Amino acid sequence: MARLDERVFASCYQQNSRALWAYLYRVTGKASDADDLAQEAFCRLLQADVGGLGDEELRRYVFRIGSNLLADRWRRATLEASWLDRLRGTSDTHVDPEYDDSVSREFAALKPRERALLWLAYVEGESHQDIAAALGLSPGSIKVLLSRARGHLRDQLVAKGITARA
Amino acid sequence: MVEWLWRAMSADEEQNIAAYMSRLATAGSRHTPRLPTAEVLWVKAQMLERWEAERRVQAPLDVMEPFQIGAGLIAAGILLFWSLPALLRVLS
Repeated sequence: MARLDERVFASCYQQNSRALWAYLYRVTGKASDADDLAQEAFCRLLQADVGGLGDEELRRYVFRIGSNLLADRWRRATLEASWLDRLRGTSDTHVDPEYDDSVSREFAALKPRERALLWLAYVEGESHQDIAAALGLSPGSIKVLLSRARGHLRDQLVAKGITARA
Repeated sequence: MVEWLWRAMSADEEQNIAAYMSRLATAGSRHTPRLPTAEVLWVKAQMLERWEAERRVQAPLDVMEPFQIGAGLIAAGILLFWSLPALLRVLS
């Protein structure tokens, strides 16, 4: 396989950059992080041998790169938080993302991986297989993890009295 | 711990979540993406690739540099030790 040519990349970027940014923004909760990660994901796409892939495969591929970058960031953040906790002698590792609108407050209360799972399933309409590949999880675990994430979101929505007709 | 397993989700709740996610996907935000154009990213990726290639070529030289300095210092020490009697003779 070969690298993407400039015209195909421009078209892929045009089609997917906003969707990828929205995904990264809703999962990280920070616009500046979403900017950085989206740029990084497209740069990595350009360095990968994906020349023969179609539009849909490229979209999945760039979302997979974005999800890998998110996972790296969580791992680093968890490690840093655990070291800070050891230094401080506390166990409070929860950091609230800077969500800016009321619609996303319930979403922000979920764990990052749950946010990623729900976004990929409901907004991007990915299959369990594709979600597993994007998040580096086993396909068999997606149904359970997604069900758990839905349960947590439902609890948040019930607590805030939000219904489908609201 | 496994409450989510036995507390099955009703169709209403499922619909509620789907509606919420759909609202979330279309909800505006005071932030807008600050992304470069495709052309800028293309150039950036090319530069990153070139730097990475240079780094790969440079890496063995960087690794060997301390050994090179160490070998030079040892050689200078041996030379000094070897020429010390003659040097002392000249000075005296």
